[in-house]
Amino acid sequence: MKLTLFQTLEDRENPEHVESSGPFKCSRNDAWLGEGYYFWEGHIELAHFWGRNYDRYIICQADAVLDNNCWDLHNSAELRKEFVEILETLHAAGVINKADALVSQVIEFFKAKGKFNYSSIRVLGMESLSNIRANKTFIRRLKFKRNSFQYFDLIPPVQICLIKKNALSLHNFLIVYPSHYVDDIFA
Amino acid sequence: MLNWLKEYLKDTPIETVKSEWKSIQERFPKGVNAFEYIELSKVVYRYSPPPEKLPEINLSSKMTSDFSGSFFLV
Repeated sequence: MKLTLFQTLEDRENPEHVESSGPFKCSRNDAWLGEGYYFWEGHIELAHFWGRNYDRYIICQADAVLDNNCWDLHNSAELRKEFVEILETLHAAGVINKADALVSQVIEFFKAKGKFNYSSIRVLGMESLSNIRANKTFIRRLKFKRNSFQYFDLIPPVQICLIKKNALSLHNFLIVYPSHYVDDIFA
Repeated sequence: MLNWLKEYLKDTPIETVKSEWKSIQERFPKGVNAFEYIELSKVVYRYSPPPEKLPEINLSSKMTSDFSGSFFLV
């Protein structure tokens, strides 16, 4: 399955470097899926949403192909169930406690042991975008019935984290925002 | 990964595993709680209850006049 991915970066007025060297790795200690190259999947609105973390930002778009090397917690119920069992196994053994076990720690634990057998991770960043007024621009949800809780999310905040830069056959990494950095072949 | 983990826990002293986990915790001290994530995912992905717990629902009795199938933007 073909994917369109978006990475939001701080605008440091170096577009040539961004396109030639990107994507860029997130190594922050609060990266929720551990170290990797983070992308929003499919919807540029999500990348604009993340851009609010910066004074000025760049959005790069890339093409990719979803393959079996992806730890796809969004699409695979079996992998989600395995993740639950991993947590329960670690908890039952007394390795972790429920209060402070983080998603990133589970992933990094397997990586450290050389047992994370995937090149990428795909998850739904549930509640990434709270339904508050400030996020209205980025949210498209269709309610099944007026005043009901259930809705169809037209812009689900699906995230992809590449462990390796070239995972999922990533290619065509190009700036698509802001417009003054976008190459125009007709200019 | 699960099968490997079970074997690893069986073959490795628990204090060793705890020590390894602690070093990971020190590198990644902040983030999303894993147990809270799976609790939320159970709601979002609508995990099915086990068969013996499936509720009996008479769907037609639940359909009211406002069950129009119309959609409303949030």
